[in-house]
Amino acid sequence: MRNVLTIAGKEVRSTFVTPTAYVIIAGFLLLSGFFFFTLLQQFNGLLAQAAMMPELSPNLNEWVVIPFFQTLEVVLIFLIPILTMRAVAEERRSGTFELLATSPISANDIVLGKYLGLLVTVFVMLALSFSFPLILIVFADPEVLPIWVGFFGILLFAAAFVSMGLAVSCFTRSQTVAGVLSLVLLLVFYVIDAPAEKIGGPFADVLRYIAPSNHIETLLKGVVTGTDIVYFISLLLFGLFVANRTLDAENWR
Amino acid sequence: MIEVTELTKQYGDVLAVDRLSFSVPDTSVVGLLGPNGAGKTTTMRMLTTFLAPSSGSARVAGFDIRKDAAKVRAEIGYLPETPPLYPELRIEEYLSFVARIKGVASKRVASVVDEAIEQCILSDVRRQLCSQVSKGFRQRIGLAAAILHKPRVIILDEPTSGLDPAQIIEIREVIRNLGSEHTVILSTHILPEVSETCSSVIIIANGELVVEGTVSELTENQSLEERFLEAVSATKRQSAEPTSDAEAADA
Repeated sequence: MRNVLTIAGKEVRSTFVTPTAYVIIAGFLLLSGFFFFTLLQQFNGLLAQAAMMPELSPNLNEWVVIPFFQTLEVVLIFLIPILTMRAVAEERRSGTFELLATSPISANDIVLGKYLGLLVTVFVMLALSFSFPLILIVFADPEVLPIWVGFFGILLFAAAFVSMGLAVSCFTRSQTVAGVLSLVLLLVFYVIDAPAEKIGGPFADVLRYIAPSNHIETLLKGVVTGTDIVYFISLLLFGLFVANRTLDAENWR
Repeated sequence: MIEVTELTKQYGDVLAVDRLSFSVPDTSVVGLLGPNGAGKTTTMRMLTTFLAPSSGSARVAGFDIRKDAAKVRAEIGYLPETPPLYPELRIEEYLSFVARIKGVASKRVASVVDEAIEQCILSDVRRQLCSQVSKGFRQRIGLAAAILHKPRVIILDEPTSGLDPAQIIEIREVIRNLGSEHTVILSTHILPEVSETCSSVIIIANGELVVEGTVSELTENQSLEERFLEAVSATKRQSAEPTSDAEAADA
């Protein structure tokens, strides 16, 4: 545990003493702020229409909060690979991996330490972006509980995707390769149920189950179900498992 | 303290290290000598458990590098060819990080780091970033990182490369002193380095052991240079027929 914390601490320090963390967080906030603004603008237009057609009764959660969280998912898919790509690949390229690999720490310590360190950055980033829904809670009257559940869902989503990005970073010594591979992987994975409708049958059901969007959807609506939480946790553990196996197998090539 | 038996590493068709056997006694400084590409770095990487041997084995500090890799790691200090530094950390931060992953108890980290900084003459730059200092300092930071946890076995891959003459003298002094309490194996292709710092020498060429002996034994009749050139050319002649080159060179 001590080794995990040492590595996590070093990871957080490395991210926050270099511009990396600030650039990624600022970029994330800029994008999410922009989308939040556009969604609010649309909602205002809708309100104006609703003044003439009362049966419309637009709902703030449905029109702003849920779409906002959905755009966060997409922004995360693009930014998480940039954050995770250097995690292990850079250690390999610069030779510091040789230090870690010949120290009395296990592959597990390295993987968990790296993972925790990355999570801190991602959670700081998401906590800051939560200020946008917070504005709604303060100045309007949305349903508050679904917002919190949705935010929890986004945290789970990010935690699972970071673990996959980390796993990819363990395979290569090139940050670029790690970044591009994770981006492709995460993006394909995100839309993997797209062909489900045409395929049909049990395979389509499998695709729909694998796709993260179906699981995050329920959480964004404010419904907490065991299966969705189990889904994200298993995704997260799978990523860590692959990362661990990759580093562990290293010594026996 | 280090016993190497028939250690072999093959990369595809290339035989980097070929059935290498030697042993290094307790508290001594041994120089692993050889021309570029002789297999020195590969040998050290196997001894430090960074690479697994293709066949053969070795015991470091009493533990098998294959079966007890974790225990070997707890007993060694290792300076790789390029010092493994994190450019964004300050030198003292880097050394405390290394101390922690080497298993030094939290309350002892600060004193251990101070001591290593003192020993490797880094006091003036301890607050600087690892990326801001010159090659010679980086080498010394790497050395400090390899010795700070007082490992029983210290493995140094070309410890004096990139140092200026004054620094070389200082670092050789440090290494000689280490030999009184630790077992040190260092690789080099600089011959005077060996007679300056080492008590015995292992010469390898083309991945094979050529000569093994104490510095005084080897330099009795000839200079180390002659000995080295003779040994290295002997393996070149014989590389077609793999016989024991050590004997051939000794005869």
